[in-house]
Amino acid sequence: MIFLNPAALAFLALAPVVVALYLRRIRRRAAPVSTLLFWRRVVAESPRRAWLGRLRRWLSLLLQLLLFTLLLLALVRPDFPGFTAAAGETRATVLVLDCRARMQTRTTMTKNNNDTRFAQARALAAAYARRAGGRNPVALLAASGPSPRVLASFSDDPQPLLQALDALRSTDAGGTLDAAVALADELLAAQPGVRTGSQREILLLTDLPPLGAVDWHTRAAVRTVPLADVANAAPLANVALVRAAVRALPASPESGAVFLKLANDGSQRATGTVELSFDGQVFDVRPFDLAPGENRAVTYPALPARPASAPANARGWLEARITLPAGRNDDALPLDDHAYAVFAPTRPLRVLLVTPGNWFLENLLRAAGPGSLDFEQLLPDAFRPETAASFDAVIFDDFLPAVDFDSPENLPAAGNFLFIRRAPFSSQSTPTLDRPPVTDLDPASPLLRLVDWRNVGILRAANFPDPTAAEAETSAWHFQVPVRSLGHPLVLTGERRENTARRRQRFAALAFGLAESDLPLRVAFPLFMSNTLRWLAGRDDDADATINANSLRAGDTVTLLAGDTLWTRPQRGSPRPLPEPLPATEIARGPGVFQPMENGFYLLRRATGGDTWLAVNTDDPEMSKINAPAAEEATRVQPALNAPLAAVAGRWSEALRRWPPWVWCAAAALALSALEWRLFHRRRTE
Amino acid sequence: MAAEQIENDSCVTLKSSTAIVANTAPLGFDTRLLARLDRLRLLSRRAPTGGQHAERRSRRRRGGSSLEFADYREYSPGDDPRRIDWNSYGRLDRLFLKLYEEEEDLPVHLLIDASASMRWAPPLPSTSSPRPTKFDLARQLAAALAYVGLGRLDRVSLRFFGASNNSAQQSSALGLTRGKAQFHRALDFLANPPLPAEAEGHSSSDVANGETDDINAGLTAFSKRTRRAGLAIVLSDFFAPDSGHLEALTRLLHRRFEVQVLHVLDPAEIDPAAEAQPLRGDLRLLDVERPRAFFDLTADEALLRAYRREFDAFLAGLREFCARRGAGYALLSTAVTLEEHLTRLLRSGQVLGR
Repeated sequence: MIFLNPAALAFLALAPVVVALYLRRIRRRAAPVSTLLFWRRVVAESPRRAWLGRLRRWLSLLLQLLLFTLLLLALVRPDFPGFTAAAGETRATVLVLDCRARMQTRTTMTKNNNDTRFAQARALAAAYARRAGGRNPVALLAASGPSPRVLASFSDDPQPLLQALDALRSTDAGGTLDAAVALADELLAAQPGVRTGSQREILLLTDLPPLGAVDWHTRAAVRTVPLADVANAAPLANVALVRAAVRALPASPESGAVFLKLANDGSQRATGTVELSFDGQVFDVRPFDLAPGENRAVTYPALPARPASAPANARGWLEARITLPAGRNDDALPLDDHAYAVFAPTRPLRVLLVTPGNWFLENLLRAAGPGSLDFEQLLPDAFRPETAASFDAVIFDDFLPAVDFDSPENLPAAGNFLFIRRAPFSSQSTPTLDRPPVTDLDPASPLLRLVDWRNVGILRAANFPDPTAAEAETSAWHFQVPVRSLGHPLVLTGERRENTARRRQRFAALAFGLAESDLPLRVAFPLFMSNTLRWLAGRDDDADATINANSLRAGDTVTLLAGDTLWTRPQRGSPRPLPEPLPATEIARGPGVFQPMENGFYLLRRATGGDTWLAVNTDDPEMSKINAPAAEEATRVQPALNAPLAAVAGRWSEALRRWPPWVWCAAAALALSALEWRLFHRRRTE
Repeated sequence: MAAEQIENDSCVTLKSSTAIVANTAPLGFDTRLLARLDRLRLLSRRAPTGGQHAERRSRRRRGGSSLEFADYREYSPGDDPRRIDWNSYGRLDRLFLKLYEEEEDLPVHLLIDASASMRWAPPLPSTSSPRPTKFDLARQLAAALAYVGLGRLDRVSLRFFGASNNSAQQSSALGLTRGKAQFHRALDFLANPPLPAEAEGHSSSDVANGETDDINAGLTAFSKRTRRAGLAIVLSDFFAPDSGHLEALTRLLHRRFEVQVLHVLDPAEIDPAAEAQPLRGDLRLLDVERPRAFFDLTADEALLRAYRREFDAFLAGLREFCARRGAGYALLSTAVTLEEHLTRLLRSGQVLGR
C-alpha cells in the first residue's frame, strides 16, 4: 500500500484531541431519585444490558477512533497497486505519465511554476516507482503528442525510474492517450512471466479521466489515477488561443489575414485584449469578451503587407498573445495564451529574358516592379546555359540555344524555361499552322488561372507535336497541354519526374510569337505571363498549403535530409525586435527526424539552400479544457474497464475497482458515522 | 338556661373552628374543607370491642346506650329492670329485655412514612405548577383523616416511622386521643415531623447488597407495641427492598389490625419518561436516602420501558397482596389535590363514608 497524499498524515496529531474530546464528553448528569430499587432491578435483570453497559464506554471510543482512522485514510489516499493479484504472483505495471500541455495547469495561482498538475503527477509516479520490486516490475512511459516515449523499460529497481522521472519535463504537445496505452499494452505483452490480465496493469497518471467513450482493446487492466482535487475543485480560469493561422490574401499575396480562435474554459466571463505582433512589432490590439464556455473564431484582415525591402533578417513571425486586465493573474494555463504563425516574406521572382528584342515582353516585365519581379535581359548570343540556374525562370523569345536544347531529355538539369515560338521539340520541317483557332482549354491548369483565351487571334503557330499522346510512364517529363487548336498544342508545359523532395524542374512552351497574335493586346496577357512565371518558379501552390507547411503541432515529426539542420530555440512569449540578432543554436542535424515539443518558432535550414521558419503550436482545443466536465457528463465518460479484465476479475472486482480506495474509505467512514450516531441515540454508546 | 348553654356551646364551637383554621392553613385546610370533613366518618369493616362509648356501633348489644333497637332476649336475674319491655310482658306474660346497639369508639392509627424518599421531589421546570411532595400529601391526608376520626369520637393516634429518631418513640408518635379539641395537637404533631433517617457510609455496593428496612422495622415495632387493634391507615411509598413492606403489613394483619394502605407516589416515579425533564442519557442516580449511594446508567427508551414494567409489577404486587389479605388499597398521586383525593376515597368507599 502506498499513500498518494502522505502530507495528510499530519492529521494524526488530531488523534489525542479526539480522545480528549471523548473523555470530556462522557460526564454524567447527576439526578437524585427517591429509590434505586427499580433501576437496579432493571439493569440486573438484563445481563446483556449490564454487559453492554460495561462495554459501551470502550465501544464508543473504539468506534470514534475507527472513524478517525477511516477519515485519515481517505485523506492520505491509499492505493494498492497489486491488491487483485494473488499472493506471490508477478505483476507488471506500466506507469503512463501524462506530459501533455494541459498538465502545465497551475494548481495554485502563484508564481511557483512547480505547482502544476504535471508536478503532482510526477510525484505520484515516483510513489508508484518506489514500489518496484522483483515481483512488481515497473515501466515508465511519457504520453505526449502522437508518439509516446518509453522513459524506462521494466525494472525492479526504483532508481532508474526515479532518475527518468527527475529528467522528465512537461511538453506543449496535445493529442490523446490512446497511443501511449497501446504502447504500454505492447510492453506488457512482451514482458515475460505475466500472462493473465490481472498480472498486467496500466496506470494512467493524468489530471482527468479521458473524455468520451474509451475503447482501449488492451490485454491489461487500465486504471486511471486522477490527481487530487482536480475533479472536485472549483473551476479554474483559462482563456486560450486554441487556433492560429495566417494566409495570404488571394488578391494581394503580399498581405495576409490572421485567423484566431479564442476559448474561455472558466466559469466567469473573460475580458482582455489580443495583441498581434509581426516580427516583434505590435501592429494590432483587439479587445475580446467571452462568456463562460464560449468559443469564438476571429479573423484579423490587417496583417501588414510584406514590404519589398524587408530586412535581411525578416522572419515572418506572427505572434498572438492574450493580455488580461491589470491585476488579473488567475489564468491557470499560461501556455495557451500564446499562438504562433509564420507569414514568410516573399523574394522577388528573378527572370532572365533572352530575346533579340520584344517590346511587349520588356515592358510587361518592367511594369511588374522591383518588389515582385527582378528581371535581366540578354541578347541570344550572350546567353550561357550555366546562368539559367541562378534565375527562377528564363524566357527564350524566338530563340533556342544550339546546344542542350534539342529535346526535353537534353535540357540542363537546373533552370526553368519559357519557350516562345521555338521549343526543343519543334521541327522546322513541319508546316506551320495558319490562323489556328483556340478550341480546347484546360481550366485546371495553373497557367490559365483567371485568364480568358477564348477570343485570342493567332496568325501563325508552330506545329508542336502532342507529347501527351505518346507519353510513356518511363519518360522523364510529365507533359500537359493547357491550350489546343484542333489537337495541336498552342501552349505546352512539362514537369520533370523526380522522386525527391526538391522542387521539380519545369518548362512551358508557346507555339506562336507574341507579334503573331493579339494576345499582348488583351487583358489575359499579363495574367497569363504572371501565372506562367510563378508556376515556373514553383510559387503556384495553394497559399494555404504553403502556410500550413510552415505550421506544425508540438510533437509532429520534421524530416531532416542529409545536411539539413534545425536551428534556434523556440522564442516562447518573448517577441524580439528585428535589429536583435537571432540566438542561433543548432538543435538537430539530418538525416533524421525531429519532434519539436515546445511551442514557438524553429528555423529549418535545408542543405540545398533556403531557410524556412516553422511555427509550432499545441493546436488542440482539448488541451485548454482544464476543468472537469459536469457531473452527468463525467458519469457518462467514465472509462470502462476492458473486457479481458472483467472476464478475469469478475463482476465484484470490477465494481470494487470502479472507485479508488479512498472513496471506499470515505464511504465506510460515512456508514460508520451513521452507525455511531444511531448507537449513540439508542444509548448503546456514550 | 338551656338556651344559654347551647349558645355558649355554639360560641365554643365557632371559636374552636376559627382556631383550627388558623393553625391548619399551612397544611392546606380551610373552613370549607373542614365543613366537608364534618360530614364524613372513617369506615371500618369490623366493629370495635372494649372501647369507650362513642358513636361507632359495637359488637356488644347488652347494654347498648344508643337509641337504635337491636334485639330481644329473655330476662334473667340480675338484669337491669329498666330495660324490661313491659308491652311484651303484657301480651306474652313473659319478661323480655330490649337490647340496643352499643356505640363504642374505634382506635384509628395513622402511620406516616417519614423517610427521605417521601420527601423527594423531582426537578420541575419553573413554568410548571409546583406540586407537594409525597410527605406533604401524606401529612395532609393524615390530618384530614384525623379530623374526621376525632370528630366521630374515635381514638386517633398518629405515628411517623422511618424517621431519624426512631429510638425516641415518644417524639415520633402521638397517642390515642378523642374529640375535636385534640385536633390542635394532631396538627402540631404533623407540622413538626422528625428528620428523615440517614444511612451513613452507604455506597453503590451497599445499595446492591440491600437497604435498611425502615418500613418493616417501623411497622413491626408499632404492631408489637400497640395492644388495642383497630384501623391502621398506612401512608407510605412502600419503597422497601426484598418485599419488606409486605412483611410489615402481614404482621399488622396478624395482630388483627384492619389495614388500609394509602400508597402515595409521585408521577415521576411512576413514569420517568413522561416528565418535563425526563431521565434520559448518561446519568448518575443518587439515592436521597443514602447520600453516598449512586448508580451509573444510561437511560434510553428500552431502559425506561423496562423500568415502567418493573414499577407496574411492584404496584400490582402490592395491590394483589392487599386484595388477597383483606386490606384496603388506594393509590394516591401527588399530582392530585387533597380535596380530589378525599372525593375519590369517598366514592370508592374505602376509607371514608358518610
